[in-house]
Amino acid sequence: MNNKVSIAIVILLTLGVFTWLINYGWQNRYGSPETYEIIASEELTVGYYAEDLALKETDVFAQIWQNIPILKIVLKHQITERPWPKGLTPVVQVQAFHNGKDIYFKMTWEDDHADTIALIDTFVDGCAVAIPMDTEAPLRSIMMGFSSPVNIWQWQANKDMQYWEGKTGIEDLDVDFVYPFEEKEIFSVTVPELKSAVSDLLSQRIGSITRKDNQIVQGRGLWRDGSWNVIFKRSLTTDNQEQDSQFSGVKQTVSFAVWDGDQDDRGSRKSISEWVNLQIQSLPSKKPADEQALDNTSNIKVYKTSWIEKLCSFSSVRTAYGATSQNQSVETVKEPRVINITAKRFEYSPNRISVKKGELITFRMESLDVTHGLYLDGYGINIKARPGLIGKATFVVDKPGRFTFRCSETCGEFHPYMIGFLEVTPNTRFNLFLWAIGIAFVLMLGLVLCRNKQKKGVETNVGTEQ
Amino acid sequence: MSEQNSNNQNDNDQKMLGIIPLNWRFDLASIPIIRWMLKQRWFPMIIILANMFLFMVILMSGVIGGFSSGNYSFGVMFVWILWWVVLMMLLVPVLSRTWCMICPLPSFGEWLQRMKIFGVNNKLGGLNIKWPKKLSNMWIMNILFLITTFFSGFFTVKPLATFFLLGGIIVLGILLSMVFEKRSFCLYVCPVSGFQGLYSNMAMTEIRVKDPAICAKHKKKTCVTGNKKGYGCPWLLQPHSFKRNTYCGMCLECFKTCPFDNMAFNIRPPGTDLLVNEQRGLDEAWKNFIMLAIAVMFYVAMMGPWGTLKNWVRGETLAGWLKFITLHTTFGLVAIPGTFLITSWVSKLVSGAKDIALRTVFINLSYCLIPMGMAAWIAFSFGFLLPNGSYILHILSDPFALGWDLFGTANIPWTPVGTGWLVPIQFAVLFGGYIISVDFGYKLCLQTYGDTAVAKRGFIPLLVLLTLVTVAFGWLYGG
Amino acid sequence: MSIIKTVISAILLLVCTVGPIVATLVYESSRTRDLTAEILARTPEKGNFSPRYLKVALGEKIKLRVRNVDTVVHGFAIPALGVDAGEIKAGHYAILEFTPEKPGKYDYYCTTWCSEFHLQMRGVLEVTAR
Repeated sequence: MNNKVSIAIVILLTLGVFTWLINYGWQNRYGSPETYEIIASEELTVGYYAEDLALKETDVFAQIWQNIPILKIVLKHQITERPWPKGLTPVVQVQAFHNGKDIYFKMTWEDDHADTIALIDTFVDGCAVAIPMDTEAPLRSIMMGFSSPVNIWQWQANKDMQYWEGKTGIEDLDVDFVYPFEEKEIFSVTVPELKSAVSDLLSQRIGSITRKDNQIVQGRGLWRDGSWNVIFKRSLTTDNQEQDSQFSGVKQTVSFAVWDGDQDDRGSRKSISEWVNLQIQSLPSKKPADEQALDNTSNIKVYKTSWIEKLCSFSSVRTAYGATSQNQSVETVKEPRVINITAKRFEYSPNRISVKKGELITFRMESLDVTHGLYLDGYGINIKARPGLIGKATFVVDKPGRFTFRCSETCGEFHPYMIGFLEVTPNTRFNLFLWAIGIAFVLMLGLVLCRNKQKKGVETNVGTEQ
Repeated sequence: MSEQNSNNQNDNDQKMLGIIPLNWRFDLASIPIIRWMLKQRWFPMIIILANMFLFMVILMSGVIGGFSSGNYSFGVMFVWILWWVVLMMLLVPVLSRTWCMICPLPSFGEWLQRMKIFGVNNKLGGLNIKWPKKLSNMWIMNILFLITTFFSGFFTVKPLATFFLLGGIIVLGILLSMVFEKRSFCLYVCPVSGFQGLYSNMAMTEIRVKDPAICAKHKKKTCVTGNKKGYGCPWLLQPHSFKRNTYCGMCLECFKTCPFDNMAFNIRPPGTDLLVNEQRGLDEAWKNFIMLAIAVMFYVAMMGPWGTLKNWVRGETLAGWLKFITLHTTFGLVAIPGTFLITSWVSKLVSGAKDIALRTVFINLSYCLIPMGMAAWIAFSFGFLLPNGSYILHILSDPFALGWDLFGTANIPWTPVGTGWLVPIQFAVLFGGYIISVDFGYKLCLQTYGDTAVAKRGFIPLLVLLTLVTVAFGWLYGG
Repeated sequence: MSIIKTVISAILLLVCTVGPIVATLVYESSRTRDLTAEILARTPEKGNFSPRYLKVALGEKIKLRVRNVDTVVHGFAIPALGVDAGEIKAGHYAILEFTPEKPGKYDYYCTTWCSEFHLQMRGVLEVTAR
């Protein structure tokens, strides 16, 4: 009896300790039990108001803005890409409305000094609205967008002065892109004809920002009592769905950025917001529902084209990205064949790549979620692709066989299993293997069939008492 | 010696590949220092204790490592990169069940039974109930091992899951050793035990008696009952007469209890136990099939490029995971055995043998899959070791991801080694496995069918199957 | 003799079971004695930075250890103080030493895109005047 009691105690104790340890481990599975509640995206209502603003100076403070609810958005340092800002504009107030034809945004933020003159080491104030081209774009896009191209409307104080008041400080050269560019990228320095105080831009990924051919966004800013007030105006929809963001549906996302020239902000040095959901109220009576649905489907059709094709359709990017695998064969042989790979947890796309021995190929890899790598067995090639940046390697495939490429940057728990195959044809290794097996098969078959010994003897039990 | 295998085998067939005689033995224990060591009470307990230290670190890294990335966790990397690979590539194929000799996992239970670590106490604690006869086979281990692999997407990447698995084995070991006698847990339950048992038939070492005549005269059989110098066989065997490695855990107690120094630690040609017709059964046949299925499934899920399957395996959605386990189970329990059943049936048909049951053919011939399966596993393990082996250096220096640098290797980055040669190495291993499989396949045919002419005919379908399986594995690994 | 054996057995058992736990705790506490704080980096959905709020007195030298206990690459920076740890890979850590000169609230951020909610991955270091 006593024995049984002690056994029961041992069993209960064992189970108890184990359960406690598992519980402790579960609580601490991410290092500490502290949790975090994800903050949902903020909503900005774009109401319908039958009001048409001509962007006169008074329109910035027009009566209509008193009626529209203000959304205060907290801004953060843009710190994902270098160079970083030193200062921060902590809050921007945003309003938006539409009149059935045009959409208006108004951004208001505190800035104790208006910086309107750009010099070599003096920078101007500015602000921007970014709208993903893809209405269904997931939130996982940074300011420049990498899962969907973004349409960026950037207002700059110096351009505002020049456009609305004809004041020029210094001849404006339109170069402020300081990102790591792809090799041999053609980088134009232009003095564009000023059609607006707002630059209408497109980008997908860092280093791909492109001025659109037709600048169709208007905007005007006024600095008053220590605050900038900037309004943007554009038609809700346009004919060019490839290049202009469309406000045809009910939902859209936007994000905002502010530059403070005082604090040396320019380019990537800016304060940014997270994505904000736009709730676009429909017109009071017009536009039947199925017409809207039609708009949506036409949108979807557009987004079926891959991002590279979309980018290639942008005029000035074409030189940089024009060499796709299709038109390669027509051109010179020495140009590498570009293989575009997208990586997301935990798969490459394409995951099986077939090339011919001796080809010159370029792996051009883009990540769709977090930092990924690509290490190619046998060739020792290692590529790293941070979100929004392209990783590239060009090499000659001189070793035949099937080689595994695997992720080289820890990207999640299944990271060691993130794998793809590069098949360099002809796969001589496998052929050799097949030959070896074939010859062995024939030999064994022959050996067995040709054996004629029919000796009957006492069998000895192999492997035991011998 | 059983009836079935007392048929004709000529001298040539007793040689592996016609070269190495299968009855060649070298007794390691004939070297005095080794014999002295094997007979000491502190051996192998001292290794178990050292191993225990290591496993405590592994368990700790699972619980307080507080660390969610498997590839930088001591537990996950040590168990799945080092231990599993060493087990598959070295311990089992060469050293039989040496892992069981030094395994610390059941030791808590065993110590509780014995209430001694080094000493001898043959009055074992616990309830000491006999393990049910019906369960005295590999079925529980088969099922448990298969179930374990359902969770491979968790065990191999999440530190806490690895803790749960190892801790679960320890806890189960304690519970069962409190209820059942001796090492019933190791024999019939431990999921790692089953495949070691089966595959150690391929091993190049064995523990056997030197001279059966001495044992025959020895009435007391101290190797079973135990004496002052050691315990009666904890693995519930009759060391004086056992013939195959399957259930011998190499605990070395029989070396200590034998008053005549009649135990031998033999080095032998690989695979001799495959031909020993004793205790063969469907359970072991299915173990074979399951192991093959897991090798395929693991490769496809872990080293294949298919992301969808990976999402199934890691349980992203319950439905996907259920799809995976259904596929996996059907493949292992039905598809592979079905293929083999057809082969056996064709083999029997072609051979023309009438008086042999299909069941016998099926079971006997299944043993020739062991070299094949082992080669597939070794080849698979290379695919783990070469790319990811360098993690071991990091985690040895920094086991809890706390920024330690114990041995100065913490800053070695992930460096794949020799992965360009991975596929050729895998091909070579598969080829070796194929040759050995075919060799034993023929010997098993001879043993099963008796008559050479009959066996020759019966062998051809088996040869075709083995060839196809090898080509399939080759295609999977590098085609 | 048998007592000595028992003692040795007990010591060996303790060393091999409790030993690693005690050794780890002692070694780790000696290594972290002079840390101001340890910050764990996880993606927001896994718990974000822990802690997300730190308070230190002005003039004190701050020594932070940032441990990436996650499965993806993170970073750590306080842009307003010019403090940057760069990329911290999964399973790795960074030690940062600095002395803020002005009181105030300083945001610290993850600098590597790590999740859909990367922009929410931040915390506040408050430097208070004496």
